[in-house]
Amino acid sequence: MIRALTGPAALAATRRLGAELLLGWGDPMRAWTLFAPTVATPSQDAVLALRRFADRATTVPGPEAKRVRGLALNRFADFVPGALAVQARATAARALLDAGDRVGARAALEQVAADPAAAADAQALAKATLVEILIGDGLLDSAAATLAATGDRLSGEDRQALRYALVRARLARGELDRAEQLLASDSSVDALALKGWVALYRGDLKRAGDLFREAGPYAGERRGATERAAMLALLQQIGAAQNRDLGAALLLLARGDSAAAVGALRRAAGGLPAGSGRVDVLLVAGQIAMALGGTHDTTAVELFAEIVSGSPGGDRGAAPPAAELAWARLLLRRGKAEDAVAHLEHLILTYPGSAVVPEARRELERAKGAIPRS
Amino acid sequence: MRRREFIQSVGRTVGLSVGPGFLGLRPTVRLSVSPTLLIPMDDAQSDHLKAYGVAYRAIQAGLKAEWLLNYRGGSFLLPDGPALRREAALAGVGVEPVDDARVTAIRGEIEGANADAVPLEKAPRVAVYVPPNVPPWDDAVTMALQYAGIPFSKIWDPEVVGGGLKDYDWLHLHHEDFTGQYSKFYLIYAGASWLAEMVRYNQTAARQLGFASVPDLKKSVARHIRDYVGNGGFLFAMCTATETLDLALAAERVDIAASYADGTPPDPQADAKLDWSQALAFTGGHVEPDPTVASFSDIDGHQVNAPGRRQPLGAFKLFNFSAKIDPVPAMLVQNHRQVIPDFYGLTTSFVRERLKAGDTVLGDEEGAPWVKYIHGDHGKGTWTFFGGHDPEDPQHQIGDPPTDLSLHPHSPGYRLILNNVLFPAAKKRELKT
Repeated sequence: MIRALTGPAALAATRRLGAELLLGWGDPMRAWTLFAPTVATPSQDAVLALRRFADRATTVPGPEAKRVRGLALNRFADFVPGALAVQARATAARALLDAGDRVGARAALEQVAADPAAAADAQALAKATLVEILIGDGLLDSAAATLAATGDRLSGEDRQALRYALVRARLARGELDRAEQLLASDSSVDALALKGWVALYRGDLKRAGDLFREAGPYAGERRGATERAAMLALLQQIGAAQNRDLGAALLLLARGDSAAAVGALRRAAGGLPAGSGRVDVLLVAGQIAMALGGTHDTTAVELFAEIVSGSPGGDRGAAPPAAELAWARLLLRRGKAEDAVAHLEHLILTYPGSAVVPEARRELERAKGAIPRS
Repeated sequence: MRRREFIQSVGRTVGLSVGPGFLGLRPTVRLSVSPTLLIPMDDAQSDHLKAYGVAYRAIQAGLKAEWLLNYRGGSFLLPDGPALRREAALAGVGVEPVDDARVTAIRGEIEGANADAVPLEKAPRVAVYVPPNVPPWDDAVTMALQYAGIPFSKIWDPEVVGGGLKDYDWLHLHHEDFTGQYSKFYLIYAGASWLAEMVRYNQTAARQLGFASVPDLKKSVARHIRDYVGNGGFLFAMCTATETLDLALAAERVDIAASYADGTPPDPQADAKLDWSQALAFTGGHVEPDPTVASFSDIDGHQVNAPGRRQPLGAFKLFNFSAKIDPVPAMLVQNHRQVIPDFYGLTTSFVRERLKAGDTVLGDEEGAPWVKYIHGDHGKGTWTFFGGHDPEDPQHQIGDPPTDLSLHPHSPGYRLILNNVLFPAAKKRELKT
């Protein structure tokens, strides 16, 4: 049937029908390839067909459907005037962004942002999304400039959220001074949390801890609060006010250089006296090495073994049981269930009061096949 | 242990038994001499289901345990020792060390209340009747056994027909359709790969074992199972296995299977020709003749797959038996909850009017025309039927994710299953009358 509808002799209307069928059957890109030539030139008929195709694409799941919806709306915007075009292009940008087509989305948004006929709110929305995209693409100076150029068209809340996103991006590049500049006179809880990370990466552990505590659990999203709580727990174990090595190691991690961070954390731990968070820092290093996988598994095992063997009495804080649980999980991942069971049993029996014991029991049951894998 | 031994065992005091050490422990000469561990089974217990596994493995290792019926939810009393404590710690099972004075006090409490202490002697050899292609997470009993750490063997038609049941003390049946109609899914799920595989397995088994059709094979299997009970075996069945086992037995000389199953239409006079004297639990049932309705008869009260007859789920209540006079039903209802939310199965419940006069009702929904949990004797053995598929998956649909029992360690419904596993381990004291 598709062959009959899409053959070289088929009329535009017939090809559009074939394209809609393909779209409905879950083949959006093929549908667009067939459909696009039939709406190459502006006409009332093409406008209606584009609108219909874009609407139909919303009912089809998956990123490809979102992409063809974006393409159809962009073409629609080319053919219609004024506010309708702006609205369609902004919607197209969102669809393209959702489909992972950042280049296409950016192009659409730049058109909206530069369109003098666009309404102020449409322009603001387009610029905000554009800033997000520029940050995601690593074009931080452009993002900062675009954000600055928005003037008062963005709400205070939106502007602040974009500024924090820019700070986080600066931190991820290790640009601590520029990140700090963006936060200069901001005393909100979100800013305090971000300033805490800046202090931490500079090795000012005491100030970092104070700022994290001040920010409390409400700054940012839940994940950020959890990360800060975990870091606070680590800082409390360490106790020292300053440690530039640890700060630098954690900055490596923030910059995404996990392999280098493992070595740096190990060295930082080596500089800490026993009982002052040494095993806790080693645990962080071990967990990162484990997450890296592959050849780093050996490093992870070395680190976990060092932590566990350093506390035979089972009374050295939370790190040894957590290390043994991670060790067991690593063994399970490598198909060594028997060895993992031995570690899990040792953990449960040696550290019965540890918070990780319930997790260890579940892993033990999974390793023994007593519960389904989920 | 066969039921004959179970009945004939005398005396409450357990003699010296030198079994294999339970991970380094030696059995005590008398029960409950110090030191002793109490495994509480009331709300103080941190993992009710695994507690059964700890008790089972202790008995398996030769330790002499006691089941304290109606005492703190049906607690267990075991000889204390590092190995047992290790087992309990690993399983997350709560234990309470008790000294002689406390044990004496507990015995005093038991003496003065509707409670009793039943010695547990020998870990039963457990078999689960399951087709070879069924995934391990599709059967509540298999899941309970695996979670509790109770070892079991899987058997199916070739083993049953070959006389293999004699090797086991306890047999479980789940959602097998002993009428040989593939749970009556043949037409409803036509084309589904799992159904095609089920049909292929069953037809191959029937052919290899020399039967003309799958219904014929299943009738023979049902008779072997009945004989196993008659010879002293303990049978525990759930879901469709309950209803269809009795239908297969009653239909020994009449065709009740749809033509897709055996090539011939069911006998239109089937209802009148059913011989319920051959059945274990039910009588007077009417067969569902429509091959497109996944219901077998009017024995099931809930009729989950019968449009227009389906009944909503309620809750069932366990009966409170006299532990000293009726220890067997008392064992089967030990629980920390008396009222349990109901759950569907292809057979969910049993209509009261279809029960035989000698059946013991263990749990029912008050005011409803059906019961949930029944028990009875046959020859030298016993059977227990529990309606429904999965106590923690009330709606249970085909393709649902498996139940993870580590998320339901206190499941009262699953406790009933595990009561049944442990109950053949009990040594019955001599009745004085």
